Amino acid sequence: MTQTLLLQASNVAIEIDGRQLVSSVDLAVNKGSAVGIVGETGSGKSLTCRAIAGSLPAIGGSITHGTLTLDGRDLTKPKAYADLYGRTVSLVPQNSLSALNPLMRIGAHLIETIKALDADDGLGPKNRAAQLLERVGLRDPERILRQYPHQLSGGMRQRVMIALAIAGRPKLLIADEPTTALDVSVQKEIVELLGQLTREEDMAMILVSHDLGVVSAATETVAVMYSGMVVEHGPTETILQHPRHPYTKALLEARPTIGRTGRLVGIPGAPASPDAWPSGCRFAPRCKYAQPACNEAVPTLEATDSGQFVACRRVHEIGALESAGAA
Amino acid sequence: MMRLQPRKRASRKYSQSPVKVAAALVAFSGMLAVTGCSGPTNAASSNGDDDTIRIGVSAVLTTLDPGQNFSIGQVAITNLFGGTLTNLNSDGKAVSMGLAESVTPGDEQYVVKLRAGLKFSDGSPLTAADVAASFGHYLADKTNGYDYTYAPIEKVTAIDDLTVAFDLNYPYPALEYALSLPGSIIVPAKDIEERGADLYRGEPLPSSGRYKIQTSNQDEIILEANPNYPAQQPETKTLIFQKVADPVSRLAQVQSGQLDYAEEIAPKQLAQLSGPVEARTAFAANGQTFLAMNNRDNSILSDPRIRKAVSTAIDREQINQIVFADRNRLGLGLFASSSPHNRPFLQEKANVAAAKLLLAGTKCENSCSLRFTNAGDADIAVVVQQNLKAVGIEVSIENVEPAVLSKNADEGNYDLLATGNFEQGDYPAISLQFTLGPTIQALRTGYNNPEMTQLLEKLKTASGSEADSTLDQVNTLFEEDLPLAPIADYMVNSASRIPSERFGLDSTLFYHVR
Amino acid sequence: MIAVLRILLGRVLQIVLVALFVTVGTGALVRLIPGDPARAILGSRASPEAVSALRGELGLDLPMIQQLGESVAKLFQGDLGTSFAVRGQDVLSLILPALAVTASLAAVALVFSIVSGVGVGLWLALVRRPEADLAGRLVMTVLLALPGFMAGLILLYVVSVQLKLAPAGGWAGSWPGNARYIWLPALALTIYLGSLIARAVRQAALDTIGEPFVQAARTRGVPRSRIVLRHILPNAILPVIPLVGLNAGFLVSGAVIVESVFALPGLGAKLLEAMGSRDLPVVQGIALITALSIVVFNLLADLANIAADPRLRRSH
Repeated sequence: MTQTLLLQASNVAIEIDGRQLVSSVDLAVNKGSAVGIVGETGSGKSLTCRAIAGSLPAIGGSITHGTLTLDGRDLTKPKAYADLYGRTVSLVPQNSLSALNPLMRIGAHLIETIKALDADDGLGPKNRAAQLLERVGLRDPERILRQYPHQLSGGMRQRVMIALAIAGRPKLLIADEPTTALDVSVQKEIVELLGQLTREEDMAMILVSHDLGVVSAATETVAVMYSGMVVEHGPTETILQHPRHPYTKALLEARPTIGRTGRLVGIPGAPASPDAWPSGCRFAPRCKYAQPACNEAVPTLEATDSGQFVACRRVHEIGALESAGAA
Repeated sequence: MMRLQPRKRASRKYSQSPVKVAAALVAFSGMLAVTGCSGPTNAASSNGDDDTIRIGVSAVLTTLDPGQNFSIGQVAITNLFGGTLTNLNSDGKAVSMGLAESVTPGDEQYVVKLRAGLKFSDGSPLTAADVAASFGHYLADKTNGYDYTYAPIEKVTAIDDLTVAFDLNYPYPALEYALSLPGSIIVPAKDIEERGADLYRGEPLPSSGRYKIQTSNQDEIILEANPNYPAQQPETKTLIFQKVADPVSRLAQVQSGQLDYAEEIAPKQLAQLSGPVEARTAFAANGQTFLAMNNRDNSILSDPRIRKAVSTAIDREQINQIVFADRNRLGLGLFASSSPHNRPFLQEKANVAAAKLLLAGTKCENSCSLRFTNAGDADIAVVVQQNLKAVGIEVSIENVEPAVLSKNADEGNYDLLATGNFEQGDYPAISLQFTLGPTIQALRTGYNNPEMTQLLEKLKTASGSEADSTLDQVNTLFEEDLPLAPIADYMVNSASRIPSERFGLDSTLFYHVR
Repeated sequence: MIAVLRILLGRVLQIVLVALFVTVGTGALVRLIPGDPARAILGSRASPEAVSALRGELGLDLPMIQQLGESVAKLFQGDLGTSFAVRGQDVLSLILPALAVTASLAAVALVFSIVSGVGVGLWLALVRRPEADLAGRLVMTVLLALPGFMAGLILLYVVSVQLKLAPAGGWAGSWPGNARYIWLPALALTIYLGSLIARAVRQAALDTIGEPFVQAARTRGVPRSRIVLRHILPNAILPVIPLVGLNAGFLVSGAVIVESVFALPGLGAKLLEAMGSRDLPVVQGIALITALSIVVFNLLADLANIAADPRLRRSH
């Protein structure tokens, strides 16, 4: 492995208005690689993205402990981002409609970004804007440049957001649930576009989703988050095929898959609120493998024989149980 | 000129509409403003020209038709550009010759000789034909507010270029005075012929007076000396009358030097003046402030004993202090205090005991109530209310708009109201028709005593000692009937930063200009 | 464009209805209140014969229905009639100079209000010091509670009388001389309207700052100055347009009150004068012109709104 590390997060905790919402995130992203973050709403995946993208202060959040390094820069220091925005890291937001100024044409958005990043590639901002739109697969860029956000479809707008995000050729592209608001068919196109662009432009990407399937299409490694912690991470393929954490297993079982018959298996119960996190394993109250010992201490990520890291004190026992069950 | 109007249209208080409340506050601020100016004053005058005077007035001329302009300022402005056959002397007691060289009175006919070589301001000659045509127009105008002055005139004819004959229906000793009023301005016969009913529309008519109209609109009238007027030219070549409807603003603008002169200022505000701005007070030679009483049968005041009791119970000194800032002269008889005809018989202070005595055996013996209909400043109503309370008469004050007051007065729908009236000249034969006459009652008292009517009829045609003895009888009968209660003289206050000799109101309530 | 046409059509219909209603409504009202125009014109000593002759000449002896019908018939020929007091003068030509004064006062006040309101509102939203924001809001609340004439009086006293920075009321009658007289009364109106706008802009700017697109622009590296000017400012101004439209009535009535404080020869003075002399056609004319100005003002606000917000241009 000679890949250089672009982003390194270890034991990161995030508080908003004094309330700890993320307690321990470990994450590593290599240059040019694609990493997925998966979890339910409230698992802390979006906050983690914000922390990396530098938009925590805007919602009153801060990193309270741990280390977070992006491209050699310590992101826990305030104002570390000023010159990282757009060039080193950029964000494709969840909702493209609210992320565009309703009173500005698409062209104005692109041109201001290109100018701010001084990234017109010698083409002039307007031509570069058109080129970017083509790059994200939009036809008739000239017309789109003149249009207002509300005049575009959701998929087109999300492509515009991607064009904006890649305008400065960032080293890291963070896509925070970029497909949530879209039709299934469009979702696939967008994820494919993101995968293709990051490969072609040699950008690293963090793709966040509550859907492992979405993540699997475009990432090499994946981190699964639950209640403000990473509970499992490792190669995407491995985790998809052989999930080890009971939560990851449950998540995969809950996922609708085409061709699969039978009823969906939901995860019973609901995640605890950050104020009432259990003292031990946070998934324990919903876990079918839980034992009293699970409530004693917060489990840490540990390497497993299958190549992923899992935070579950019973990971080996469960593996044995399942093998037995399968046999 | 007599008018049924609130004594002072100056500051409006105690009224309901927000605009009026605002106006009251404006008044308050104006006082602040004026007090604030007591330091170094704004030396900059309205302009450097010594031959121009700027005057702030409550209203400029809404129409150039003298027959339809009746406020003090409007009449006084009209008098400046309107040439008349006779001119009223500044004391208002006699006339001198104006455009006429001589006026020869007669019982059936007056003969007027014009000065030779008269010209209108445009240079066209002014002849007897113009005089005849002017009066022909006035006599035919059914909507002319001066119609009372034309009533005795049968016709006016030009005998030759310089001679005009006024044929009369009956002897009219006051004609020499009527000829001096703005209602008798001479205008070109040519325009009367050409413009017909539209005489006063379009360009101002050529002037026959001391000044001519340079421009006239709703906000401003500018007069310039008329070089063709047959008298010494005034030093003041230009007079600019600007409409500043709010009296406090007029005052503030004269204080700041934007204006040289502000007419019709409330007496209470005059004490606040400072610096080069001084108060000017004019007392009408023939005018008074009255407490009008409803003599009609629908009012308790139809009983003369109650009217006299009311007049006895009111404290004229107190009214002068509170309403007129002690600047007025008390009204103790039928005429202005300066008039030789005046025979004072009323008391300066209230006499409660005498009033109660008068009330004995009347409807008001124990107690009764009267309505005081008031428009504008209610000070006078409040003092009367207090005064009458002492004799057991409850006064309720109804505040109404001036137009409503006028209507109620017309219909006799009131008990008491404060009113002022004035006549430019001291000619009781004319003015008494409006205070005491039964037909055209400017004061709307409804007073109708045949004996008085007869005296007034006699007065119309009387002159010399006959007139004097008739006036004596009028005074006596007035004292007996007391249809209305004189309170004070008719006073007009102004604020000026120029010497009073140069510009101001005479006791005729016309302007003098040097 | 369909949206624009629909608004235009709606407003034209409104103008016709307002014109009809105001003419008949005020026409009837001014005829029902006591007071005789002919008597007001001729003075108290004119003979009853002269007064009744004038009533005939003014058409006041006709039944009220007929008088109103004639007003409406004339109105649809674009004729507001002729004044009673200023005999024979066309009402419109009497009102227009006064309207010009009131309209310039309202226009200057509007410009002052928008400039100061937007500036202060934006500043309050962007200032990071809570005590400055608190102080600003406190001052705005006080200014909003200050009645227009009071504001006028205070300004008159402080600025004209004490500081001698402006004339104590009056009007030059011509431009640019009027500028010397108009700014202080305009300031008096700005105290309310500017505060109202500042408050709205502050809130809208704060809301906009929290919008994802502002965040998004920031994370794209767009400089703060551009974010303020191109993202926050236009979105913060947006609610000002309907706000100003809704306050058209205030602007006119406020202008009328402030005019009286500063002795400007505007519609207010004209109306009081016409009311005093019972100059019915002029009263009717001023009511009509005022009502129509407000409708037209609202129309302009609608169009400005469409011009400012592309989302409203969607045609259905």
